[in-house]
Amino acid sequence: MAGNEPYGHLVGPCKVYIAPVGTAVPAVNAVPTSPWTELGETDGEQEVSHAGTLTFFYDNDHSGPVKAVRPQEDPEVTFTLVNLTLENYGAILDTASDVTSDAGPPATKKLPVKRGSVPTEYALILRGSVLSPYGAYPGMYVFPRGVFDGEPAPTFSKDGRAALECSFRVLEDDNQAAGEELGWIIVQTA
Amino acid sequence: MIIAQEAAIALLKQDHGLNELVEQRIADKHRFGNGWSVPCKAIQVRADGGPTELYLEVQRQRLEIICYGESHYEALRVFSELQSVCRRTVKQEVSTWQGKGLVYWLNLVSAPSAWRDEEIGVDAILVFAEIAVAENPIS
Repeated sequence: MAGNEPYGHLVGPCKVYIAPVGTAVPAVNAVPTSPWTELGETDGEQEVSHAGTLTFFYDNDHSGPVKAVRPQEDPEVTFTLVNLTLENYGAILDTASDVTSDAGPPATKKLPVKRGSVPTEYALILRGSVLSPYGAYPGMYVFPRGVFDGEPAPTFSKDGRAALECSFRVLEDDNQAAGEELGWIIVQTA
Repeated sequence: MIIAQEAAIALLKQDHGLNELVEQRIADKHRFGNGWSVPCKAIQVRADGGPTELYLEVQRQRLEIICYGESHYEALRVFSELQSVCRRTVKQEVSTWQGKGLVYWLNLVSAPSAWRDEEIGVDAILVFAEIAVAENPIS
């Protein structure tokens, strides 16, 4: 085994940041700052899915497939959010700006449950402090445009913890460089 | 080959906060009566079986960790620092006799148990952990 190969094993959870679409992406070795907002603690595994099933074509001259195309691809980030401030809850349902405050007394915050027909679009960064496979360096997935999909159902119980199962579906962003419209992975190497 | 138990001890020893709290008393066997005063804060880390990696050159090791203190409260302070180290540890380099090692994680796998070592008369907190370490030294 080569000396630096152990770094190729990627371990540890990532932090999730969101920002309005079009927000400048921070350097990989810089913790994202405003307007990037860190969603709170997540519980359990985080997953990046590179969905996109191939369609295979056949002809009468061959018994095996002769061509394959990917008609659709659908990157998706899933994680479970347990830090349920109304701002976080609102961002997943639609937008944090839906949260309103009242000085009271008692002081309150309110989040409408109605999500609306057109979801708010976000940019999302999934950042790990040692996500680089080339050393003890940070790395991140950058998705410049997407929406929170799914039907989160926080469940309340005596021995459990309410959580929002979040599914971020990536949308094409034609303002990005060719090939990066659905996002990219960037890691520090030295 | 990097030994997981040694890597765990090296990892704990290089944490400033924990090392300062136990005044560098972190070892594979306690030294009460042999250099360590009775009672005092200290940590003993002992290999305790656990899972194995069949395909990867990674050492996985269950560890029995005993946090000693002048009282259960003081032992819990040691445990609390240990817990912080565990939460922080992701792909961390450590120095061992076999070279520089890479610790992937050090996770607690049990809640603490209060206990007293009657033989030496020191209160302790017993906890189990699991460590994963790259088998080969990193460059």
